[in-house]
Amino acid sequence: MHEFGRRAPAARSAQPVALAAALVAAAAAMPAQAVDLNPGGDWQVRWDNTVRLSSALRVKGADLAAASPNTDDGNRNFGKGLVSARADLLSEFDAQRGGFGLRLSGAAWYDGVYNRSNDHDSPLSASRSSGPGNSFSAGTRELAGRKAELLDAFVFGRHDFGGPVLSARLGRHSLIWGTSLFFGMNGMAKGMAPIDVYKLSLPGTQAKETTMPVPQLSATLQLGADTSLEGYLQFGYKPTRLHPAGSYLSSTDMLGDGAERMFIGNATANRCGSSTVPVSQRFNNCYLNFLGLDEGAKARNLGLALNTRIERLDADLGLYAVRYRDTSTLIQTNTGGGSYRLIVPADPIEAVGLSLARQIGEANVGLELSVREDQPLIAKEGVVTAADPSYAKGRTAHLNLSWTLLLPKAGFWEGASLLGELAANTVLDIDPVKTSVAGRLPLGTEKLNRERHRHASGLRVIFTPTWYQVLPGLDLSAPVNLGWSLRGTSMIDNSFPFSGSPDHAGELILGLTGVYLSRWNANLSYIHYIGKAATQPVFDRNYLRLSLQATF
Amino acid sequence: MHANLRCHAASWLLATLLVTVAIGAAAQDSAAALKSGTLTPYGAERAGNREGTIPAWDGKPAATPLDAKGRRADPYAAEKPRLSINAANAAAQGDKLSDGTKALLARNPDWRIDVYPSHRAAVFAPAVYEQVARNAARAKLAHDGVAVDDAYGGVPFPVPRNGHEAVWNHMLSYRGQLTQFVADKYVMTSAGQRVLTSRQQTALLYPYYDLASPADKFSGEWARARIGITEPPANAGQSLMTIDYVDNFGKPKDGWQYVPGQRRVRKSPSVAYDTPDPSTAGLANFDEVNLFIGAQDRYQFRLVGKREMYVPFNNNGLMLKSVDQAIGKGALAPEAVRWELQRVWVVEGVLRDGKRNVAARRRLYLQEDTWQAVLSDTWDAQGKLWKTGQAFTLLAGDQPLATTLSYAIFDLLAGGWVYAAAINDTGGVNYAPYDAKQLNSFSPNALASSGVR
Repeated sequence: MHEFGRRAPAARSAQPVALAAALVAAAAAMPAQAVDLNPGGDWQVRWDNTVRLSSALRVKGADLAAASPNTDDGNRNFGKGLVSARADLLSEFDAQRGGFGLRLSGAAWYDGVYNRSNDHDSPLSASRSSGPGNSFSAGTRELAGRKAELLDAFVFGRHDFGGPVLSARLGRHSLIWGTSLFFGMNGMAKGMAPIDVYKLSLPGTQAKETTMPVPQLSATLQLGADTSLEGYLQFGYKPTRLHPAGSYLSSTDMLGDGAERMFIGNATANRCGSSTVPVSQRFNNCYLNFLGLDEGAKARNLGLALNTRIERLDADLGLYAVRYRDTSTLIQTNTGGGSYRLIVPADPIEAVGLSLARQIGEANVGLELSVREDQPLIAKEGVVTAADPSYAKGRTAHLNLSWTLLLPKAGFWEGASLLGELAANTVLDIDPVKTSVAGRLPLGTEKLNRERHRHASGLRVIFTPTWYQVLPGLDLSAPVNLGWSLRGTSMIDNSFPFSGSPDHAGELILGLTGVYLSRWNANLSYIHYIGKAATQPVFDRNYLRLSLQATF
Repeated sequence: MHANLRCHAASWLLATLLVTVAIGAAAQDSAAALKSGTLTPYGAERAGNREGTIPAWDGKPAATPLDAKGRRADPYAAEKPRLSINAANAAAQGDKLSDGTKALLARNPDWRIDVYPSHRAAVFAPAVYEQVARNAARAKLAHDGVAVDDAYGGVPFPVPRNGHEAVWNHMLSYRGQLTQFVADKYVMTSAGQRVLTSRQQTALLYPYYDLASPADKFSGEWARARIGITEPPANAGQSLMTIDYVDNFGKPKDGWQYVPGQRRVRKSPSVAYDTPDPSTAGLANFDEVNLFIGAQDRYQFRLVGKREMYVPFNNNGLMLKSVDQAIGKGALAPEAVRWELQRVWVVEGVLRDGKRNVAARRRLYLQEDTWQAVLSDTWDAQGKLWKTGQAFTLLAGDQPLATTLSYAIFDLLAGGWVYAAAINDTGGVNYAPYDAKQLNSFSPNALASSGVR
């Protein structure tokens, strides 16, 4: 590691002992400026804080024509108007000396909207058990309304073997391989770090906030200027963080933090659908209570990667092999016990992949291909039950093709960027289901889930024209962000390519971003969902979001 | 038809032979000129001027002892300006001022340039001179000036015959072998606000200057750069890495960026030509680093000639001042910047047919002892003078070397300006010998493994 620059010995008096005092002083000085806590010493110490205020407004009322009791809460909870009034803090602290150090980061937020009652007007279809239908459950109120959590907490170091250099990190951190840009869940990234889908919906959110750290040991052995070997071993598991149940963009009431119960079947065909019960009370009689997540056996997630450059193709090549327990969970019902829980698929997924990245013209183009074994599939009709815990799985193939391009002044913009990614996957093979219930047949002869597609694909393109110094100190950009599902209702992932796996549907986000004096960042976005009730679960939830962000 | 083809082939062969012969002869001329002693070993004119205002080059580096912060002293700190030029007396200076300097003076009556006695202490190591002498006999342009072949370890064309050769001298001039510093980028808005848009830990490794290794082992990589961003805090933790090649025809600049929070390195899109650099608020484009950097395929460069001009030079003093002292109203503070009368090569680039760049015409003024651009002027498609650049030279007598480091780009039409690679508040420049083992730290993998955020 190089020593960058030389520092003033005069300021070397700040010792680690004085660190606590410096922290307090720095906190008092906030938000005057970013803090280099030990400017002259051997230690490089930083503490940065990002503050974001945002609010969101629903532009029109819910269209409940096709509402079902398991998918209506997020919609019914919010009338036209305010759906979020939120303050976020991201705090980051690093200290390092000679390549060894420590990093801590954490986030805290408060959203006033989730700390009061909501607009839910159908108590019978509200998936609430612990309180009135027009209130948020404790779990939802916590995740959407007020929470503080630790993100990174790890130590790191490096050793030079006089040629090869080994660097390692131990503790909670995130790590992602491959070239995926927006559709990490379709690539190697899926197996490496769970995603905070809820935070992804906040404009201005950075990768360091939405990729959720897990406890792990990761290391890189650099073998030469252009070749390295990487590996990791994870000690903890975290599922994908969905929109909390009943939050504005949630499309399933029985999933996500704060879920309390689900309704099953229809009022006449299942065990709790007694025809003697008045229709108005039937929902009350046929729900299953949520028992939480069952992690099951603790299989270790691990992976190996080789990165190198291929002169002949003038490209960066990555080869990957990872083994992981899916961050997408399965619903397991116990109709006898009147409950359901989420289970982590028992068999780890094994995936191998390769990525190629190179410049084509002025653009960076990344291609990532991977194949997964034992990928859980939404291939069977019905759900996984406690009596029959086996689930459908199979071999799948995945492709991600992404590009980034910076453009010079042209037309009526002064600079622009064009980012995009096409993601596609296909189910190559579905394994027979080993059923433990007599009389069940192997998959294939059993009813296949015809609502699901074996092939799915989608794309996202973001074009961002920029105008510099529109007013002194103010740069403006107007990102146009189109996400489109070429073919959705994926058999592989309920959230591919977007939440709810819409089919031939998507979202269009028109934004206006202003950056003032390289510090203040304001964004106004209009989020428009394209599609119909049948193809886009959140088709009627268009909204406006305004945010203001600064880092100190 | 066949005969025709043969005829073509023959004339092509003949043309190639003639060109080869011409180049051979020219290269011998260059080598001879360099040996004769009228030129310095770097290709500058050894003698001073007739008026005595430019001294002869004597090959002695200036004494620039390092202070506790690693900053080099100003050997000429005690000198007084011999001339002050402002809007009122600029017209009397004839062609000793660039169009951009004149425009800056005209738009800012309070601004002036202070001209100090000229010094020629730009001196380089004997090993560099040795390679310059060899380059004189071996280096040649390829692909219409877009690539340079058989050059190594020194400026490739000490006796340039055209603009492209001169621009290659500017690009490949000696800036150290392993060079490290922390530098700031400031944007001054048209309303006069000063914004620190980027603080960068910069490390540059120059395989082209691996002087202990023979020329035929040269990989074609001219420089590897690694930049870690520490300010503004929103960008802290980002880092990037680039590789520049001497064959801009076959290999465009390569780049990678580190994505904080994912601990992942992505290949970056082309950050070259006239794509605006967002960290300059669009005031400077990516090809304006050091006043000009990058491939020469979009311009036809013409060598206009050599001329005595007032240019910023020997600016250790500027780099010792705090940013508050250095930045003045509408430009760097007149008392912070040293200007001298120096001989410069004037090189003019005009767009080639079918090529585009927002800068339709640009001029570079290359100081003769360093080959580096110290001034630049840029015209837009309407022929209006649009931007002017100034680069400030650091004398490191301890190495020895002299190189531009900090530079400023002024947008004469919009009013804002940028002061980049400013080391005023960040310390000195650390020079170390080339070390091939360091290549490991200048790689995309190293970005990922040393990324903390």
